[in-house]
Amino acid sequence: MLSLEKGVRLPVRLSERRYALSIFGACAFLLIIITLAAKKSTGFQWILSGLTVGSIYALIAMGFSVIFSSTRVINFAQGEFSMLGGMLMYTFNNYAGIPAPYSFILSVLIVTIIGASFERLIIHPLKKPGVITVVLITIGLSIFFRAVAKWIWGTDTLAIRPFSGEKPFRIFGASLVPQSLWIFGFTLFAVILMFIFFNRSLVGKGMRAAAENPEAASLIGVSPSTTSLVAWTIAAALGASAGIIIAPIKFVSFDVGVMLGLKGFASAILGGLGYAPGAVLGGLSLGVVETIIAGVFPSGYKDAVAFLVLIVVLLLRPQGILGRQERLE
Amino acid sequence: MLRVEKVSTFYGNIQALRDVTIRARRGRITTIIGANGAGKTTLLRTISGLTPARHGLVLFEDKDITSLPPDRIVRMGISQVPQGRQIFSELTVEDNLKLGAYIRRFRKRSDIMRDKEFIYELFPILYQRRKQIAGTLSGGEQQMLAIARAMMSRPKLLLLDEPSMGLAPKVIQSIFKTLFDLHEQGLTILIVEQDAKIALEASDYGYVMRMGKIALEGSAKELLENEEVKRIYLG
Repeated sequence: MLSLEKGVRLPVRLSERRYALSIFGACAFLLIIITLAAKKSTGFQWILSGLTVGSIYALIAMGFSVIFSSTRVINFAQGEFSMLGGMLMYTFNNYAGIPAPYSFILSVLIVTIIGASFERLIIHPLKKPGVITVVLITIGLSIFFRAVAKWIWGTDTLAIRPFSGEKPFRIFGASLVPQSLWIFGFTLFAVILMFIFFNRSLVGKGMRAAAENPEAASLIGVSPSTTSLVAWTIAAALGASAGIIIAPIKFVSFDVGVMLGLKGFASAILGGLGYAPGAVLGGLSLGVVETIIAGVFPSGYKDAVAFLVLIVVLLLRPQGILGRQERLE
Repeated sequence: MLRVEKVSTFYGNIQALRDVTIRARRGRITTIIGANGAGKTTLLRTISGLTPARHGLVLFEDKDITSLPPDRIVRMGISQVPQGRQIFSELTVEDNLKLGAYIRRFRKRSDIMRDKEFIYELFPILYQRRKQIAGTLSGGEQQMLAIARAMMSRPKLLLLDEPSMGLAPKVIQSIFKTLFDLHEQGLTILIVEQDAKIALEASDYGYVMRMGKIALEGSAKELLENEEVKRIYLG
């Protein structure tokens, strides 16, 4: 009796997800082909630059996803982690003259500690806070971080030295700064690290279990409080490193966190909030689309693209490309 | 081993348990029967800390666990197989089992391996399906997985919420047989069941719940012969 059902009942949403992914893939492919055909090496240049900023969006989006999937909270201070990372990097590297690798580690470490202590000192003491309450707290936190940054570093736009030179090299007619390679490499490294954590380690699997069914997870001993702490720690580390590696290309100032955060949020929604691979896909595609639009239309429209994408996705497929529909309790 | 003393539990303003007092003795199988909405599930949720009691005490091995969070209660040795199984449907069978041993993650790996082998001997079908995504299992297999997952924490007391729900009689029989085997190896079990007959036949002691209260209690044999129980719950 039991053997009859051998692996036939695949969940319906899996095929639905594949359907959404293939439509999306077709659109992306078409867009890339048109761009390359119409603009040749300029088009290729756009795609490369798009992937560079897209990697940053992907890292920030993963931060949103990790916190959302384990606590159902949208952390509106996510972008400020990136801003703080960039600012600290400037202070350590340019100002104090500490070599880049050490400055990088130091900055990420400090922001991670800030993220973790925020969770422990402000969210944790609240007894069963509502999701909206915590979301409002994160908005307050982002305003606080911006104000403090403005007070410490002022309103100037600061430049950080690229990790290894500024001399661009050419591939297929497009030019690429070495910093882009650092960004690709680091993003890949972070994605692999996240994959190993959530698929190989028991704590990571426990967090996935808690995301799927918080009550059942607490019945096997997964503590929601630990899950939340780990999620905030990871999100802060991802945000900080994203802010640092992009700073040599885009500069850093006290208010970069707003745009980075919103773009990361839009990417997370596009790919499927709460699902890490979706965050990566969403980030990369948003980066590419944004850069192509900025190339074709006046570049002032660039920032509007993210929000247009956000609105379209929320209207057509609110769970995102790879996301799954929320179960109604 | 477990004493629930005059417990009252509320969902918002609605009272689901009224002064409930029960015992689960060491090495015994205790059953709670009752109709839908009598408060059976709430009682297990209160013991596990999912919906803590507003009044009254829950004592486990003479320690007060009334207001501990669920993960602490698991660590003390009470494991629950929740209603509707609640397995992690997107993870593999093997991962579900590993997660069952979550509270023992700092122990020796070989201990956990040994327990896993024991579980696979108990439920050979789970061994065959170990690489499969848990959501693709049949209802009976999912129930076995839920029990197996709960056992991986090495509980002293196992709570089961309607293990027979939605299963074919043959599958129910085999699940209760397994529970009985575990009991023979010394596990204390507290079952909540609508299927009163099979549950009482397997157990030592029973309670009947009605409208959030304990209406009747006695040895399983007494309850099986009680006219009222026969009429209402055994049909």
